[in-house]
Amino acid sequence: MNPFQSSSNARKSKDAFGSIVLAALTYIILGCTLFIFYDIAKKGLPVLMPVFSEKGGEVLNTDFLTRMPETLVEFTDAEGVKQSLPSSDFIEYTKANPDAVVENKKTNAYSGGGIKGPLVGTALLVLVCMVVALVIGIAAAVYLNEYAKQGRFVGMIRLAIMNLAGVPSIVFGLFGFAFFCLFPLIPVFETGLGTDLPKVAIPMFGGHLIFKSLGNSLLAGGLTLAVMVLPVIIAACEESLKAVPKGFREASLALGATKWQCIRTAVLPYATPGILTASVLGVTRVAGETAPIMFTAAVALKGKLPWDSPSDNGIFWMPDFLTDSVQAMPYHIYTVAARIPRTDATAAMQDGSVFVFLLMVMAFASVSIYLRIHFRKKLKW
Amino acid sequence: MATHFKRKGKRLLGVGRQDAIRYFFGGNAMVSILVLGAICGFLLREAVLFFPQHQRDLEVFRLTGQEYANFAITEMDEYTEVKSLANQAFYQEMNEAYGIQRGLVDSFGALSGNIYDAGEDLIEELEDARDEVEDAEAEGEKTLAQAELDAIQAKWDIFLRAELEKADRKTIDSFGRLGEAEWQQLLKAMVEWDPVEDEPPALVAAAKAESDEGMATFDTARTTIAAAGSELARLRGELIKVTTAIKDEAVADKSAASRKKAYLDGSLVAETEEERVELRRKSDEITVREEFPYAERIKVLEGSREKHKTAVEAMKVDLKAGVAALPTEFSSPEVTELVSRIRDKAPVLTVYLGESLMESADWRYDEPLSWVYSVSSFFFGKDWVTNSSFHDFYGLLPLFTGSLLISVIALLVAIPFSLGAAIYVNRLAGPAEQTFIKPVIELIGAIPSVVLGFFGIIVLGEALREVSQVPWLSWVPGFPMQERLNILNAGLLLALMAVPTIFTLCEDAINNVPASFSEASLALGGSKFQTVMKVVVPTAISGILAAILLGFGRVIGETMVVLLVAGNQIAIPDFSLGAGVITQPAHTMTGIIAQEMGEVTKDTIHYRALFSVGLVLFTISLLINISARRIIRRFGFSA
Repeated sequence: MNPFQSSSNARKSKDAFGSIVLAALTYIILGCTLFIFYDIAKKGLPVLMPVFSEKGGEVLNTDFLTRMPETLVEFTDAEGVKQSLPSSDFIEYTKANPDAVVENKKTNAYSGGGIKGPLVGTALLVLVCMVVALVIGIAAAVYLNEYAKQGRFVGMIRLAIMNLAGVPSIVFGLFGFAFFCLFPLIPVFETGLGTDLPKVAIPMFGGHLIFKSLGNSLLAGGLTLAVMVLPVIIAACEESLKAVPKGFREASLALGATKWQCIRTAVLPYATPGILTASVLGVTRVAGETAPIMFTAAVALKGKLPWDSPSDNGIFWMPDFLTDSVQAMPYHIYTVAARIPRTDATAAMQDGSVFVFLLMVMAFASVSIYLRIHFRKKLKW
Repeated sequence: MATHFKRKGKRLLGVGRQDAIRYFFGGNAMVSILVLGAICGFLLREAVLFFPQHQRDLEVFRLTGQEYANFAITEMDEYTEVKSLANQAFYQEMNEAYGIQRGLVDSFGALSGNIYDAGEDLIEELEDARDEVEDAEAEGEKTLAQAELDAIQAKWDIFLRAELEKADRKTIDSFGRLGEAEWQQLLKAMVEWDPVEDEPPALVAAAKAESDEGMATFDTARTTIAAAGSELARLRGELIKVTTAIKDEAVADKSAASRKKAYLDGSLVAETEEERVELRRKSDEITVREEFPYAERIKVLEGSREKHKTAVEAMKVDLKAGVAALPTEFSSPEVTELVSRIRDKAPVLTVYLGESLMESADWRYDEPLSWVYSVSSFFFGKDWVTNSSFHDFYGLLPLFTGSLLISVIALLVAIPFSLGAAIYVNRLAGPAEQTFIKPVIELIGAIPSVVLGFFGIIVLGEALREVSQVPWLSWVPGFPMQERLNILNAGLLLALMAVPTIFTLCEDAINNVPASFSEASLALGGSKFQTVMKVVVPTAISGILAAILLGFGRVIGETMVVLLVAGNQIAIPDFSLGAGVITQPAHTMTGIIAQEMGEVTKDTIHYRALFSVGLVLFTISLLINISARRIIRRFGFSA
């Protein structure tokens, strides 16, 4: 038999068939994904940019981005035309036309106005979360990789952190609820408490140091998200620290640098791209999460932005907005998708919010993917 | 120069700058480890505390006799399933065998109702006019009344014709059971319809008689089955009432001491004498007992055992008679299927009733209850019922089954796609394809789950239901689907979520197969495809297994998609439907936490039950992670 004989036709067609099946599987995944993006964009884009709707209109629906969510009022006017207005506009409408005919009035909660509150809330949650998670995460990674003696103990900690990265986000939410929301964590100095003391009260300076729990608040939500993303950030940072060749450190130390000088000048700069990628990835994960903030931070309706008219929450040394609950994009979508029946009037809010939210998260995700590919190409030792 | 090696720096409290930096990093590491440790601690604490509390709760359940009432409740539940099957089969058969007849009867009802509403005033006039004709005595009066009646009658006839002209077949006959010919016949018959007498026209009456006669046997069987439960239902209601009263009293008794004290304290600081006396009186009214006299209260249940026995025996007999009386010939396979399910279920139910009766006969209110029972009734309990006026049950089984079913479907769908894509991208695709496909699949992982859930409600649910209603697909088990939000819908969306995880890890595993392996295979004359399928993939199998496991971990921990799309019905899916079980709604472990956590009070049994569910999830995900790592370490290749 000739060993260099080319494959039989049967073999060839079998191979070709197999390859086509595998390619088909791949492209079906891509097709489904692109269909989801397309479907959401098709419905949501006209809400954000009415130019693209069938009726046409302005380029950007600024109202949608700059108004707070409100109740939507649907009604039929004198000519029998169906109208829908956010509740504040509706009140103005009835004031302006006191004898206007309003028939078949129907209200839909959360479905009118815009998404300013949720957008701001999500941004703040991500900010609080990332500040905490990055500071603690990077420092912990530096310690584990640069300072700690690489023994069994550190190995075990590393393993524990890696395993925690796979824990479902709702479990972190559960923990956050018990620990940040309900557990008295925040020391507060108060005078004039009388006999009505909580369990733990340390008397000092003529008053008492007591501990308060945070309740449903921006800070509790941000910390819960930080705890959730911490294992991911530690693991990713450690990986990029490990990727810096040992020679860099040895050369630097041999030149007489102190440990910190070595880390600052010879390790961190080369690990920065990896850390940056990890943080953008962290933002993507955190911004998209709903479960951990459902009962630690988010509320469905709030009339004001976090920094407007401070509320009296009693934890005086913290800015009020940190201890106040917020609206958040994912929770807003959950509320309008799950609790509000979909009609022509309410669909705009649903589709628009989903589209803007997806756009936001996808932007971060694309940046993180781009950064990773870019740096992988660029940094090779 | 020795100065180069001299380390300078201020020291504060004996800590140099280098040490301070070191402590900063170490401190942060400490904080993160502590927080991550606190997670385990908190979960474990709340979850473990659940079990003693659950045990006390179950003790009260037993002592108050509610556990006995629960026998009757579960028996009724099981029986109701058979009963509703019988009803379902009956109506379906009636619609299919006598569709036109039922269509005529129902359309007549709808049509006459509409006309009646539209012409209410006219009909009243007509009625009055007729009364007047009848009441009229004098001859002249009579002719006058008759003339008036004729005028109104003529007006009515015109009105009726106009209304019939307007009638829309689609809205009246909403199920579309009538053909054009029957519709016209009905309209023709309706012309004769008299709104005052409101007798159906002969056509409709004949149709009704025909369908009633044809369905007579089935109807008798159905009513026999339906009547089988009446006695037990009565007993069930009685038991619930009596035992819940005992429980309410027992619960009130627990707080008696503190209530008494509160009234007493109140009376001391009350401002007026009147108030003081009133509060003192209230305080005196409350008697504080050392122990609640369960033995005395439970006596009301005496005699229930006898009643229970007779009720169950009667139910067995009636059920048997009813099932035997069911007809054997049906007009469609669906009804045959439904009836055969009744025939299958009835003997199972009879056996169950017997067992339950025996068990209830052995039941003692004062039988001690061990912690094992508390643990096992959590892990294997079939009910999760909260905020109930009777008793709250915390059984994990329905939630666990829901989570597992959804995850298994997600994996079954996701594995072929992601594994195929991984093989294709790593070994067969060109570089241009690779740089395009990989980022897109990674992007899937970043789609927020709440967005996917929204897509599932709005688009996928509708699409699936439409597909399931296509007639030539009706052989698929579970089709046509009853619910838009169900296990299948959630499973498909979660499959998409699992794809990036499984794909990336599989791709890594395939990438790590040493080049020499495939080179050897190619050198021996294997084709490229053969090499990939017979050498590369089997070598990477450990990595692929680990990828599947981690994909499973990702799917079972997913919350928002299942909360939005799985249908949130807390019940063990009906496995008697075979593969059709996947078109039923379900609830999940993650979903229940998300749904109920917001409204529980701290430290209550419900709060802790949710933590126990959380601990189960936590343990599952840890086990999955650890075993995936093990698999890779033991069998994996590191290139």
